[in-house]
Amino acid sequence: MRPALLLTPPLAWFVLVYLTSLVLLLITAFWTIDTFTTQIVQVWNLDNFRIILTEPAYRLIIGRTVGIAALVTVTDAILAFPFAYYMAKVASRRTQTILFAAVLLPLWASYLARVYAWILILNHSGILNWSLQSIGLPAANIGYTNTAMWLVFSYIWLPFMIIPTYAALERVPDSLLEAAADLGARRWRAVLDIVVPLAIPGVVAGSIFTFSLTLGDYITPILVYSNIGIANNVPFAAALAVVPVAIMAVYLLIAKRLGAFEAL
Amino acid sequence: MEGAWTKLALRIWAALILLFLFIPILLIFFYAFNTSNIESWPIAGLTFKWFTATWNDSDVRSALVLSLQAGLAATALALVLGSCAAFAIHRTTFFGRDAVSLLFILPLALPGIITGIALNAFFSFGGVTFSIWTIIVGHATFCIVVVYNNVLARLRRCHSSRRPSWRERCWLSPSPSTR
Amino acid sequence: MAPQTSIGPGEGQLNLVLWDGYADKSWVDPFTAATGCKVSQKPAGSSDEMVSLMKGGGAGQWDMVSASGDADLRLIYGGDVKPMNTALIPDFANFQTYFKAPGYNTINGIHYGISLQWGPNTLLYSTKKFPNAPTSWSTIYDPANKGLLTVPDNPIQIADAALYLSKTQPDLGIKDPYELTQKQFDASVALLKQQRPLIKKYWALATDEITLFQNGDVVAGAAWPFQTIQLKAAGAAVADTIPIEGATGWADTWMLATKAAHPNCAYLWTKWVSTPKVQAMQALSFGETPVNTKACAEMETLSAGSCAQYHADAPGSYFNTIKFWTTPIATCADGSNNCIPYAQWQAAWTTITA
Repeated sequence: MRPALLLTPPLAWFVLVYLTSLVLLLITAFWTIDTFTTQIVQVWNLDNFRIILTEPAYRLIIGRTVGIAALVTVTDAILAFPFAYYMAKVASRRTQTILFAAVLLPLWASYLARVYAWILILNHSGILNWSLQSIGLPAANIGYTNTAMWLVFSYIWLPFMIIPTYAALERVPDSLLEAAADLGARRWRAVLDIVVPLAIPGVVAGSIFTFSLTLGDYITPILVYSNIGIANNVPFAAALAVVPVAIMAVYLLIAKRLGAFEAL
Repeated sequence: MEGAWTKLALRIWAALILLFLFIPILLIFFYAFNTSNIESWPIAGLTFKWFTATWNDSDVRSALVLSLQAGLAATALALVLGSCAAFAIHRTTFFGRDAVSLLFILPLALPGIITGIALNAFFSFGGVTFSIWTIIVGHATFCIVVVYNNVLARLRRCHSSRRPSWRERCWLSPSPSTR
Repeated sequence: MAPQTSIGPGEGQLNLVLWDGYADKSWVDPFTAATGCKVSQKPAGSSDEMVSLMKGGGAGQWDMVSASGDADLRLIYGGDVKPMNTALIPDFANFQTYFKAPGYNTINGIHYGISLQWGPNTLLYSTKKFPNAPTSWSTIYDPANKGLLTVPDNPIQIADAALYLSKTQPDLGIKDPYELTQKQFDASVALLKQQRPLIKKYWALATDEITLFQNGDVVAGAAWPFQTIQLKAAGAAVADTIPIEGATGWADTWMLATKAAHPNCAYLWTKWVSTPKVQAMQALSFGETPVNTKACAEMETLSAGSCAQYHADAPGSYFNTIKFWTTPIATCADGSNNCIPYAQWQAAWTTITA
């Protein structure tokens, strides 16, 4: 009986506040606004969805968003894996603890400050160009480009990928690797055939965060700035919001299959 | 167990990643002392004036106070509700448990902006004026999930482990924290 | 609803939505000292943002907004602002006739705000890259400047493209850049889509553009005199100009929110910023032109020659050469209904900047 009592407050919060607001958002997506006064007109129609599906600009934006999110996820997975392996299997207990704290520390710095740091590095007169020019290379003007976005997002979300990967690798017993060695397997073979598959749930769990967070940040300007901030078109923003939700629903389904939910 | 070369390679990789993570932060820290407010490199000179300017700005101070208040309140709420949820989910198996688990990780898995505009629509619709309480509600929703995840992971570890060093295994589980 | 007939005691607080630089310390501090109204500001990057913030009559959060012509009608018809009593503003009598009851803030004789200042949208350029001032807006459409340009992230930019086309492609027949037929509209949008790959970044706030120029990321762009003044003060090598095709402009009005919590402070503020001295200070600080004809003399004492430089002494006819921002609506000047309304401008803008 007690578990049910424990469950009620959080469940009530989630259903009454979170779920209700999500459903409300979905409903709003089927309405429109009076374009002159920007008041919401509660007339049911599929116009918003029709526009999103047929207007090439939106397909471009969505495609680009998914592309960047996928690229960032892959980049972070590659960057994180050797680091997490080092932490879990090679480093001493003390080093592990220090590294763990070190990876979490950047998250305590303000998100905006960390993004701004990259603007400082990448802008026309920033460190990158200064360094390139002092060794005689031409300036690389990657400020405000997609390359810059990819760099910044990979940087910001890296800790979110390292942590679950490390947790998954840590759970792989050393005895498995020893057994494989006893059976004659070479090191890299053992890692590839035993460690990596066992670490996959951790990597996928990390990828949920990198993918979802990049998706969210990339789509924020168009959702908020252009449609709510500028056009005050909440119904259209709601319809647009359905897209990342649908994408994440599919992603989560796949992730669940790969065991990521136990590795969160 | 790894070969010496592999170990060296891994160490170098780890060092590079750490540099990657920390150099931008150190840079921002460094720029805080810049005499000029132009962003170019190299830095023009060093000064403390921006710190005094920031502290003397009452808008910045009130924003800081607001953040602290909202953060503390949201955390308190999240600790209570998140722990309750984790204990409940861990202790029992019931019909719909998977669905409830999914519900609880949604705020983390869906882009935060979705939570934001959904709550925005919810509050506008309900005629609730935006205030520190709406901020707390929004943040608490996200934080509950973080607490839930961590506590649940910890509970799973402690419970399933049969190894004698349970205390060692029960130290804080790695899980992403809020930004 | 009828506006109030007198100004009561100040409420101690005033919350303003405004363009960055419209409430500078140099005239806010004396105001607070005299009236006790403490000023809180929310700078907005575009008219759309202002309309959005003032939704629900300011929602009890905001008292006034310094809205430009393209926001005014939307605010009025949306019920977010209420009529103001011009009798409570002594300097109103000294305003330029054009700005006493302009069509964008006065409807059927009811004043939904008090005109403030006006200014042009200029071509800002780096004097290093362009030692001689560019003569045409073609500079910002020129592929030779690829990746070195910036323009505002604002759907009303379509009017600037239309203005440019009205001179360079006269057979399109564009007379008013805010009243465009489908064909004229499509041509303007096409020009902006061609411009897209040349843009380094669309600027949202004036400070964004200032940063872009300071870092050397861009060498030319559409701007307000405010950016030029700020950049020059920081020692940047820039200048601005109004090219031969002419310019769009903006004329701002202080409007009172329907649900303003501090209406007395609001009226006291409006009185204050309408006085010649403050009008002159704001004009020189931001780089705009006062609506108060008495401000000219004040500007001369602060900076000799500035009155003429900012056209503060301009005759009524001059205002006809500037295409002031206004909300595009479906009804054209000739009464027909096939002009493109603003909602389509916004939708098109998303496709341009995608």
